[in-house]
Amino acid sequence: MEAQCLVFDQQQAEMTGRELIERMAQQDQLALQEFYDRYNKLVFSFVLKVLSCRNEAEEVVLEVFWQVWQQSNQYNQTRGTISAWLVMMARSRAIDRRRARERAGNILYIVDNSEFQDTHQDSGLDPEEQFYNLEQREAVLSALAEMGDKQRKAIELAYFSGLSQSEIATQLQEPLGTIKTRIRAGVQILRERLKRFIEP
Amino acid sequence: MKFCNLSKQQKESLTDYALGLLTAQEVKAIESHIAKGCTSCQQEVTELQEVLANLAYGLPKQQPADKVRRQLLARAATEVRPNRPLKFVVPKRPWYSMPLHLGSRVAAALIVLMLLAETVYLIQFNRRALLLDGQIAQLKEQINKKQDIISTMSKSRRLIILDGKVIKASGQAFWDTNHNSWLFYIQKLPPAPKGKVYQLWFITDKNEAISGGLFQTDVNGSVQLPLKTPRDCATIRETAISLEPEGGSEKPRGAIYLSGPV
Repeated sequence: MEAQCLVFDQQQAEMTGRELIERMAQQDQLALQEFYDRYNKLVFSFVLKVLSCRNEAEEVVLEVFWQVWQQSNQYNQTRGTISAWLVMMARSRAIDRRRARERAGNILYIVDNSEFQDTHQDSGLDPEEQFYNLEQREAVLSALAEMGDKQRKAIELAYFSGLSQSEIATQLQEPLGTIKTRIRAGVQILRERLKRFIEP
Repeated sequence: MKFCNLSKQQKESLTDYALGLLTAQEVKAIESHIAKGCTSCQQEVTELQEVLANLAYGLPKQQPADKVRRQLLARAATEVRPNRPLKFVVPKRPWYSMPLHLGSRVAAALIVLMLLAETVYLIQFNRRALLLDGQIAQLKEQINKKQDIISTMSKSRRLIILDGKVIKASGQAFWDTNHNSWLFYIQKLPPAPKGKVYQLWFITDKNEAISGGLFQTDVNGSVQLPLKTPRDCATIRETAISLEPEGGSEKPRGAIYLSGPV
């Protein structure tokens, strides 16, 4: 019953997001504002994790939402939810920037998390959606906790750092085959534990 | 694509694809496979991307500076999009994957049955039409013959009735005196026995018999004979039909089956 309610909430949230994209496609700037308020924290948190630099992360967030505004008429809902679409777009841009920075030989910025406020309160979301996001967060953290440290680290290096499997193997000092197996098994754990948050 | 032709190893690599771990060549191979219409792989990749995107929810929530929002909205207010979109397109599920309610299923089944019944009816109708076409052609032919008769009758000045002498045959002869043409119409005269033939005679007022020609009747005993009056025929007093040996006779020798005074 609880799972059904969560799915319903997710669908409601998805519907609102799609309506906003539809309005943006008609150049409704208020819709862009609402869309940004709804999703900026999700995108920013993700990009910051990849780049570890607040200024760069903010630039990427601006690029991502500008892309959404410009390409809102190209959104294809059969290719996944809005949040997944946004995260994929953000990941692609953030990893590109990270690689460019590494090619330029710049030192990685270290983020001092203490300077940010970690809040779970999203001003753009209604209380039900906030509750839903908290549930989702708990499920993700629970799934990650289920994995061993090495498995979790391998997935994080692949997804957030954009490293290749060989690079991960070198960094973790593990055979390539082991890394491949660990990553695939880890993704299966995530898939199993997060099933209820994924649209059919 | 009805069946996915990826190997087990390639299937497993879909996870690596979703994570962005594959080489450009491997990415190209998978995307080409999906582009060919493998819906199961498409669905698998979408689901994996959804799963991985959920990792973002596990991160501590951070908020960008307000200036990002201001810059975004200011840019949207001032910059015109190069290509104004026509309309937001909501992708539709393919018709065959639409869920159907019971009523819709029943209605669809009824429509299919009606279409089948109509197809069968049309096939039968077509056959019947072909049959009727054949009958119409036959009737037209008969009408043409009748019209010839009527035409001759309308032009003729004389009608000669032939009576059966030996059997119950009958006949009429229409004589167009203007053109010296005749049309004999014989009924119920049985087909001539083997080695025999019917011969038509014009009997003059001098009691001479002049042959009009040889003929056979059909299985129904009927025949139509369009003729011209023989040249050396003087005043005709009577017409007659006799059964003669094959090749005919100079004078009537066999039995007279039909005759009629002019």
